Amino acid sequence: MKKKGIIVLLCLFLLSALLITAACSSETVSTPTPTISAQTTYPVVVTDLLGRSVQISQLPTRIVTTQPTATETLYKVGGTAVGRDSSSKYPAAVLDLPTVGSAYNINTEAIAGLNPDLIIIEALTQQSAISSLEKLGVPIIAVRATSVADIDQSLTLVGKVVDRSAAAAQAVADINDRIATAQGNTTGGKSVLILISDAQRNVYAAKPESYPGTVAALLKLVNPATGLPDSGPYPGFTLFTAEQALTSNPDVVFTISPAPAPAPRLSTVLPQTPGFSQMNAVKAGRVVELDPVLFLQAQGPRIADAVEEMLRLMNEVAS
Amino acid sequence: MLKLQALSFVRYSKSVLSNITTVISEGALTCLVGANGAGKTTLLRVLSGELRATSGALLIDDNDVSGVSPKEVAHYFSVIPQGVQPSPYFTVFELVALGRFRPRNRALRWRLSDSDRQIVETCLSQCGVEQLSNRRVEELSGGEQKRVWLAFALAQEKRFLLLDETLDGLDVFAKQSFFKLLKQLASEGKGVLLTTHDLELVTQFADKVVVLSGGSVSYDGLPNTDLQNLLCQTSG
Amino acid sequence: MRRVLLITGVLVIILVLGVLIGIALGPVKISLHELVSALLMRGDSTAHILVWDLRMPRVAAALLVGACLGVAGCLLQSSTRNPLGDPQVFGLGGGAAVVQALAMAGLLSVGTWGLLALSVLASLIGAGAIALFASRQGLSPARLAIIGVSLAALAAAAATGILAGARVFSQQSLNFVGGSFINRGWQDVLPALPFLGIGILLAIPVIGNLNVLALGDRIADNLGAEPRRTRVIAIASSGILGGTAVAVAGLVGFVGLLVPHLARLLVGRDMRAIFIVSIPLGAAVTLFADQAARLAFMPSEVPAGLITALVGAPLMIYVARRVL
Repeated sequence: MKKKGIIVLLCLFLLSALLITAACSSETVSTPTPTISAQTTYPVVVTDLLGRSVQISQLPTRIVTTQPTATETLYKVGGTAVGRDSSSKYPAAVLDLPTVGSAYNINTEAIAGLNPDLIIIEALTQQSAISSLEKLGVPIIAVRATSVADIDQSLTLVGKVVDRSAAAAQAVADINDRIATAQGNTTGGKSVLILISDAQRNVYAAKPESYPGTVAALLKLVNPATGLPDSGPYPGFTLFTAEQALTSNPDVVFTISPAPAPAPRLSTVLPQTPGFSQMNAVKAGRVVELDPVLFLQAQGPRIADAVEEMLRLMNEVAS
Repeated sequence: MLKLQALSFVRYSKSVLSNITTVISEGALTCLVGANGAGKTTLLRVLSGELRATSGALLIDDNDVSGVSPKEVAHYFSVIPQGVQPSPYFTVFELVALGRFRPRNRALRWRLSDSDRQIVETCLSQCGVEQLSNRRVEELSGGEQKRVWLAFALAQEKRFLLLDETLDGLDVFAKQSFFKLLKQLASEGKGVLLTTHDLELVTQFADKVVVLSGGSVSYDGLPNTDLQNLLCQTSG
Repeated sequence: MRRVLLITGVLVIILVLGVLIGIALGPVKISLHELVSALLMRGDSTAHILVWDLRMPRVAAALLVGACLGVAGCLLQSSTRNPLGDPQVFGLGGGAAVVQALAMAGLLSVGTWGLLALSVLASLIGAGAIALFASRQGLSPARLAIIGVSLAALAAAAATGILAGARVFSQQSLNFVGGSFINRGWQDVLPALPFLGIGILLAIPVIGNLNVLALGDRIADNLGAEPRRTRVIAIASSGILGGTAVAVAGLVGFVGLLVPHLARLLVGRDMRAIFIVSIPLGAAVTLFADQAARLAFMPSEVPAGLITALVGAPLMIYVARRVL
C-alpha cells in the first residue's frame, strides 16, 4: 500500500514538474524579479542596450531623445526631454518640443544647440550615429525594443539614469501584467500573416523577430513567415512572394500601410494582387489594417497597447 | 534642260541669291564656282526643291516647276549634299541599293527586284567600286567613299546630279579621276552640276562654268578664261 | 528574308522554352501531370491557380514589356541616328514613371486602364521633346543623348520626390536598376496589349523610310522618304511603347538599348528586318531576365531590372567595342 502511494506521489510530483517546466518554456512573459527601487546616487555607471558602459555624473535635466522608442521609454518612467526627433509624437507633451532632425537623419548641430546633458538613442538603427554624437561630450545611452525583455531592460535603465527607478519598476510590472492578461484571454493557435508593401509592389511579411511579429508571438499566434530569410526595408521582414502566399493559409491577414493617406491601404490592394487574392483569409475578408505607429514606428513601452489591440482585432475578425 | 530665270532667294530679309539666270544642260558637266558664302549651296538647295525661290522661275524642259512641291521636284535631281556622312554599318552595296528606294504605302514590302539589282551593279562598276561591294563604307578611303556616293546618286536614275563640294578633302589624283568620271557620266547624258573650288580642274574638264559672286552670276560661259583672276576681281 | 525567318523561328522556339520555364518552375513545385491538367482543364486546384493566375500573367507581362522595349529602342535609334537610343535613356519612360509614382502615392486613382493611358500620354510629352530636338539640324548624337539623359534624370528625381514625400517606401535608388514583374497579374497585362498593338501598327508604314533616314535629312527628302514626318511618327510610337512598358514593369533598363544592336548582328542592317526581329528578341531577353530574377534566389526575388543591368551593361560594352 505504501509503495503504491509513494509511486502515485512521485508521479504527481513529476507531472507537476513537467507542467511547470512546460509553462515556463513557452512564449510567455516571465515576471522579472522586482528590483529594489532605490534612489540613484550619482555618479552612476550603467550598461545600455548596446552593452556600453556609460557614466552619468549627475541627474540629467536636459535630455534629448532621437527616436520614438527613446522618447516613449523616457516619458513612461516619468522623465521629460528638451528635444526630440521629428518622428516622436507620443505622448502629447512632446509635440511642443523642438525637433533635432528625423530618426534617420539626426541633426547633431540642432542637438548641440539645445545644450543637453544626456542623449538617448535607439540601439538597432542609430548605432552609427554614436561616433558623431560623442563629439558633443555628452553621455549617450541606447535603448531597444525588439522584445519584451529589451523593453523591460530599457525602462529599468532609463529609470536608473533619471532617478525614477520606482516608476520604472511600476511600468515594467504594468506592461508585463497587461500582456499576461491578454495572453490569458486567448488560447492561441491561430495563424496570422503581417504584411507590408513598397512602391515596387513587393510584399513583405513580418517574421517573429520583427516588432509586429513579436506582438503576434506574444499572443501565441502562428506565423507562416517563421524561418524565412531576411530581406526588405525593416529588420525582421522577409520578401513574401505570390507563390508563398498561395501555399500559406493564415486565418487572418494583418496589413500595415506606413504611408499616410491618400496612399492606398494594402488591405484594399491585396484582393487585387495575384496569389494573395487567393488566400482564404483575403477571400473571406479577414484582412485588417494595423496602426503603423503602434505596430511599427513607435516600438517600446506601448507594446502592451499593441498586444491588447491585436487581441481585440483577432476576436473581432476571427469570430 | 534646266533653265533658271531671274531666280532670287531672300532669307531673314537678306538677299542670298539675286536674279540668277542660266541654263544647265543635260549631257554636260557644269561647274559652279565662287567664294565661300557666295550662295552656291543655297542655289543647289533651291534647285533640288529643298528651298523655295522667293521669285523667278525654274523651268525643266520648258515646264515651270517653281511652284511645285519639293517631293515632285526631287524627281529630277539626285543630291549629294556637302559633308555627307555614311551611316555606320552599311556596306557599299547596301548604300547604293538605297538609291533604288521608292516611297510606298506598304513599306514593309519593298524588295530589291532583279532589275534594281542590275542597276545597282551597273552603277557600282561605272564608278569603279564594284570590288568594294561588301566592304563597310566607313572603312573606305575618302576617294572611294565619294565614288560610292556617286554610285548611289546614279542608282536613283534621275536626270540631273547635284554635287555640293563633293571633291572636298580629296587628294590631287583622286580629284582628277573623279572629274574624269563626272565628265564621262555627263557625256552619257546626265546633267551634272558640281560646286567646287578647284579652278584648274574646272578649266580642264568643265563644259561650262557659272561664277557666283555675292549671290549673283558674274560669269556664265566656257571655262577658257582666267578664272583665278575673275574670282579675285569679282570678290574684291 | 530567309535569314529573318530563320532567326525569328529560332527566337520563337527560345520563347516557347522560356514560357515553359516560366509556368513550370518556381518555389512551389508542381509535377508534369499537374501542369498539363492545369493547362488543359478547368479547375480550382492550387496548380491551376498557380499556372493561370500567377505565372502565366507574369510571363505575359515580361513578353509584352520586352516587345515594347525592343521595338521602341529600334525605332529611336534609327530615327534619331543615335546608337544610344533607348526609351529609358532618352527619358521617354520618365513621364510614365512620374504617373506611376503619383498612383503609388494615392494622388491619382483612375484604375488600370486610365493609369496606362495617362502613362502613355505622359511619355508622349517626353517623346515630343526628343522629336523637337532631334529635328534640329546640326544636333550631334551626343547632344541629343545628353538631353535625353537629363530628361530621364529629371523624371526620376520627380518620381523619387513624390514617393519620398508620400512616405512610400521604395527599394529603387537608381532608376536603371529597377523595374520588376513581381505581383503582375492579368489586370496589368490586358490593358497594355492594345497599346503594344497601336505602337507597332503606327510604326509599320514608316519602317522602310527609316533605312533612308540614316543617310541624312537632305538625302532622305530627295528620295521622297519624308524624314520629318517619319521621325515624328517613329518617336511617337516609341513614346507609346516606352510608356506602356514603364506602366507595367517600371524602368527596365538596357533592353531597348541592346536589342536593336543584337538584332542587327543577327539579321543585318535592313531596318525592316531589325524591326521584325526586335519583337521576339526583346520579349525573349526580358522573359529570361525575369525568370532569372525569380528563380535564382528562390524563394526570394530580385528585380528583373537588376538582371538586365547586370547582363546588359557588359554586353553593351562588348558590342560597343567590337561592332560600333
